Amino acid sequence: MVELREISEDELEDLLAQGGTKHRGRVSYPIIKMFLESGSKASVLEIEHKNKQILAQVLRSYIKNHQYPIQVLVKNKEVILIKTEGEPAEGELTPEKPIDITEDSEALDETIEEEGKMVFKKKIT
Amino acid sequence: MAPSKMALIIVSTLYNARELWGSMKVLKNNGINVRVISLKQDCVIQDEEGPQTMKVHGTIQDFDLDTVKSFDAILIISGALKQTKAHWNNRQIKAIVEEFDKQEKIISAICCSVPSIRWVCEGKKVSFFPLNKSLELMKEAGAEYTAMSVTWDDRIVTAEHQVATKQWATSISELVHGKEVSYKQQFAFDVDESIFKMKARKRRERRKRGEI
Repeated sequence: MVELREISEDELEDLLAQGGTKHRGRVSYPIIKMFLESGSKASVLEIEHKNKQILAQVLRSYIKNHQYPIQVLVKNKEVILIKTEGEPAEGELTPEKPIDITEDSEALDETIEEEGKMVFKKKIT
Repeated sequence: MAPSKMALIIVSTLYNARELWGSMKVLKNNGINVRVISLKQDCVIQDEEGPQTMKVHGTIQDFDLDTVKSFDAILIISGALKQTKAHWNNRQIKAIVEEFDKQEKIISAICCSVPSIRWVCEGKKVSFFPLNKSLELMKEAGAEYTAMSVTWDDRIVTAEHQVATKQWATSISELVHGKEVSYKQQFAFDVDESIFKMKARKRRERRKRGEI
């Protein structure tokens, strides 16, 4: 049985204020962050995960939403992260100046209670 | 034969399995034995994501500060936030951490458990999972947030998230054995605290009060 439950304007405001699809994923955020911190052009992601294809898809979705210059491949059951080049998209990192990229973040899981959310400004060193 | 190295692990009662098992594996592979304690009276702790339970070596309440001299490092491991927050202001954990610091041992914490070691982080660079409450506590303690996945400053080793467990535990092992930390991060992130966003509920409340 399918039912549609109407939500109030307040509830809608809450939902929209949570940042939509731009959230800090529990899996994606740390992986992408560590890859970028490493400075590597390309890396194999060694991680225990049942389905590498699904993991790759989650990472691709996160990368697309946050416009990172990273490509994700799955080859020989390995997930490979590659830094891409080309025309910088909005929010892409450039070596000339710091880019102001803000990320809305959501709770890591239902048990996390936060009084507010921190956002990050990425800096090139 | 050289005396074996020992690490004390304080773990949340609803623990993060990747952090606990991952760090224990790295420590043991590097010749460091572990003793695990928690807040639970019956010493039984549970994986935060599943029903798996295990019995630890002892409780925090019964830990004898005189035994700190037999350890080389302390690790504080997180789990479900509520249970991890229980460590933040625990007096016995504070006493244990301060004793480790007094005896110049390696002190480390990961993710949401980093505020548990804030007592010895004055003037130190740290990483921690970016909760506003953690930032508040660490700033009060005089620590400097680096926004990196893993940070080590003198004898303090901290990590932001569970994915960095291996690098965190490896760094601790290297320091325990008197070596330089080999993990290098080429790219630095920075945090701008002035633009953090409030939760919608708080924003609504402040709007009603005419504050924004």
